[in-house]
Amino acid sequence: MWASVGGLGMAFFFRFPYSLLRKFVFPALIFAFGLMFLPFAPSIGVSINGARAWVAMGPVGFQPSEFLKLALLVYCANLLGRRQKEVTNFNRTSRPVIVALVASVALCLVQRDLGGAIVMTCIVLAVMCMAGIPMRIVNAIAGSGVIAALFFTLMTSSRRNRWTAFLNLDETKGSFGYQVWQSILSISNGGVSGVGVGAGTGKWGYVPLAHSDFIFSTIAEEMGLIGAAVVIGGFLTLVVFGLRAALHAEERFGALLAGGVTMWFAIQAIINIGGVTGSMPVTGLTLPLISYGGSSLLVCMSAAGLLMNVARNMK
Amino acid sequence: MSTAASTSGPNRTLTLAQRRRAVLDRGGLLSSRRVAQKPANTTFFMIFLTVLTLVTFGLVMVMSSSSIVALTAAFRLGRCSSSN
Repeated sequence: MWASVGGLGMAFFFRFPYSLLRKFVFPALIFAFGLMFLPFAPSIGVSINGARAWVAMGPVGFQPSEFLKLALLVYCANLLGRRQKEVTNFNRTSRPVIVALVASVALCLVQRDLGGAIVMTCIVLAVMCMAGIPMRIVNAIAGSGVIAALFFTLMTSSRRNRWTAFLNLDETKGSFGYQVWQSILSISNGGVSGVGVGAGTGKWGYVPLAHSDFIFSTIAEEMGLIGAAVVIGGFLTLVVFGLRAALHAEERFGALLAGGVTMWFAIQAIINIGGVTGSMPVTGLTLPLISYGGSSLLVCMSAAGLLMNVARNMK
Repeated sequence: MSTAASTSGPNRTLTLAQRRRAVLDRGGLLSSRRVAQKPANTTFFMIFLTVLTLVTFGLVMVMSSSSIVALTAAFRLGRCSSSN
């Protein structure tokens, strides 16, 4: 069902003249901020794995931070695109972007959604880099982000355990690192051609969340190296052609939009695949366009529609 | 009657695409380049095909990896038995 809705979203954002998005940037951002408070409502807020980041309204459930990612990206692209001659003016360009970013990250951290906060920070930093904001400002934001993320990680025991599991997987494979260890076993079980679609054993309770955050391990087990290469190759293709669309976009807003969407997919895929393979700490992020997760799929497909829109209208 | 009137009007020789352009231009949409009017290029097709491939691949793999969850739920509800 969500894939169908995502398809409609993609078609809408592909056909919608993206220049007109500028009129809805601020209301969309305010609306997305409003949605971020819904998980705290007693009757509709849902906690999963310690993060209170989901909303369930009858049969419909969604994660508001996914919508905020897109709204924040469009807001930053619009602001930095319009004020391209004032990129060195901190008050006119960097400050509004930093305020929006800090508010978004703070709301994510209150929901205990560190992955969402990291992705939002990376998207905004990428857009700022592409817009030509002085590197000292970008570096200062990145440095502050790393310190804040470390502080947030060390604050609670569950996140500390995830970090410990990443640093010493061999000794924690029976406890905190169980999920990642099982995921690595599933990947190695796949070999070159995989065990066949549906024949994997990791999803039989060994790899928790095999259909959402850890879907890459299922792909690597059931379709082997070939399936994993298709996924990684797909994201590489998206990055190459997304950046090409950004470089040849007919206006600056479109360029920043295409670049931002491309970097979003790339960063989220790197963090997810890195977590699944044990190369990075697990942050609870989905694999864009692939993982189970209705709101994630809908927003990612809508963002892909925007990217195609810019690509279709490039110079 | 209405057919005769439309064929004798000013749009008689215009194609559907030309009439669509005329309507859009009247609203000032074409001049402000708000409508996707350029022919599709390689970059667009590559992005479209990649997104389509990833989403299709994802749907198949989500169905495969969540099958065990659905099966467990079905057993719990008594819709399946071990002999099935």
